[in-house]
Amino acid sequence: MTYLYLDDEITTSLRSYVRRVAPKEGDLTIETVRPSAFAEQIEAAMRGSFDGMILDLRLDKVAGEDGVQADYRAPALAQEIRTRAAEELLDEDGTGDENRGRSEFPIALWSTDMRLRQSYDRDKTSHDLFDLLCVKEHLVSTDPSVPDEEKAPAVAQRLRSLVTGYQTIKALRDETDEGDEQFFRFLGFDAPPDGVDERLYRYVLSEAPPRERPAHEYARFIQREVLESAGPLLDRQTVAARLGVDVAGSDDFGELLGRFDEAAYSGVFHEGWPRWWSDVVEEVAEVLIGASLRPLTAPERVEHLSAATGLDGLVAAEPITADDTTDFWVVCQATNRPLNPRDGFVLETGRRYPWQRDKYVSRYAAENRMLSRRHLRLTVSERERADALFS
Amino acid sequence: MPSTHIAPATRKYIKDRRSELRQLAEILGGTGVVRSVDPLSDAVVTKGDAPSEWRLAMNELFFDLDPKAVRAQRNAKPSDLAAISLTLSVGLRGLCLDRGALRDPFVKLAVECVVTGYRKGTDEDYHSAWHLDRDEPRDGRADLVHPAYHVQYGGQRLPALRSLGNHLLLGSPRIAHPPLDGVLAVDFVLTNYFPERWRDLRDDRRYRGLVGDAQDRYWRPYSMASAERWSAGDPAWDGEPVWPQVVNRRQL
Repeated sequence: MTYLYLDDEITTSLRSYVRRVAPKEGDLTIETVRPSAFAEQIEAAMRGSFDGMILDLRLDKVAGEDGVQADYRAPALAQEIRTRAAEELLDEDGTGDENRGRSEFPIALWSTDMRLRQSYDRDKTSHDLFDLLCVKEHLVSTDPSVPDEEKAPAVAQRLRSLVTGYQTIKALRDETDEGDEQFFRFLGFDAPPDGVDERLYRYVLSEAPPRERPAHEYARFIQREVLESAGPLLDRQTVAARLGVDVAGSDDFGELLGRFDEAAYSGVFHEGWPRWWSDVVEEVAEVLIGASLRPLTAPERVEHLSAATGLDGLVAAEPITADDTTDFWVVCQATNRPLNPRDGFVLETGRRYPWQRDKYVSRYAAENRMLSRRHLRLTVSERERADALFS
Repeated sequence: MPSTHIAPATRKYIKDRRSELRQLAEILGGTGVVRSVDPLSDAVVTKGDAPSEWRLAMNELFFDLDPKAVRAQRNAKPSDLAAISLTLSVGLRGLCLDRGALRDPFVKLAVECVVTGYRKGTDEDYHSAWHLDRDEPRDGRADLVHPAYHVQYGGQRLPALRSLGNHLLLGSPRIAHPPLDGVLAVDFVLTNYFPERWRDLRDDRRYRGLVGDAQDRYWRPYSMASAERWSAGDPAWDGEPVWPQVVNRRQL
């Protein structure tokens, strides 16, 4: 798998980031290249033989030795690529299916923390263009407060997963018959799944005929509204919370997760975004311990799970403060610790699809003002409630 | 979950009940009436242990009185509360009956509401609770002193109170009340604690439809059973457990 990486400043530190993400012996290659003039760069993007692109946000800062300096930035290039790729689906130039889908590939954005915050964060319209956002410094960070998913190994996994996922999307899209949407196939199912919210597995992406729908629209929708939102799919931390397990302290957590393979999400991007179906997790747990996990405290859950699986290396998760309850259900988005909604506040998450759920922060995080630096906000009524309680 | 061995009518009944809670979630979402509609969407609605039985478990739906409503609680003691919230939980086992059936629709019912008042700047919370239960017959015999469906003050969920003051907590009295499912329990909380919101919602045709349907299913048979106490005929639902205090007309 090869990614083409455009950056106007190919420094030693940049090379070290790239090496960390794509080591020499691995199956992932990242070719670093200076950006050309816009028209040339577009041609290269549309006709190149790579599996994905990585763009530095600011391509226009520095001229190369040949004096060529790009006069555009990453969002402009990405937008043009997406637009042309969509046009190719309509086959307006009559060249037939020859070029169809060829320039539909993942585009990642890499930049420094500072530049992202100054330029990208403010420009909401660009957020739809990229499949992955990386902060360069975080790639090699050893700081425990930087989430693992932003560090090199996870980023590499995601880059690979994006390539595979785009290929799957293109294949499934081209097999979709108009009027017979089978969105469940993108979710990893061969047939309409029992127990999954019908409004999700029967989702219709757009009014356009399936063959004309850009792959990156599918990709963006699946990432944003299915994988990264709270809802029927749980991430690792949330599964741990519902099982009452402290991940860091439990050597056998991986083993325990293995017992829940039946619940594992196998749809598009599952390699880079491991998820589990919440209903199935509950069912498997209920069969394992013979009762519902939900009303039990974390220590009780771990006791039952340990007994049922024979795994001793499981430690119960601790509440964020001593006053909080331990029948955990969600994860505090500020502290990443397990939480029951009654001990927290609801976050403002913007527009929602009916299968999505609310996200929460703990009372501790709200009281200690940990929200703004993580770009988290409470809903209006929750802000009122928080103010009444402890402003 | 194995989906064989369920009669189609039962499956449809359960599907409809689940769909109603989802509709209720959609109607309430964004109105600010509940803190999060997720407990409605996450409610467990499945088949029960016996054929043609269904189960509902809805956990901790939170309602918050807005600051104006808190201040409006003039007779509250203590009177300087910063915030008041309620949590509603519903657990039931019922029968998947046809439209128009007049039998007792539930085998087991427990609706619990815990009301909590918070004072700013202190860790002291104040609690009160009420619950609606359906008595289960013991030894096959209904307890014919108390109404089968009744509301009581207090409840198992009432946390240990720091200081009762001069307040006395007893089991009695059990006041007869028609049964409440998920939809009706939410409506009950709204009528009693959020009258303005309730009035707005009652203007919503979808909301009216949901509540009306539930009342048809659960309150109509109950009313008929109560009314039956005053006749001498042969009832579909022997009203004696519903309203045991009424002297049996047939015995007069």
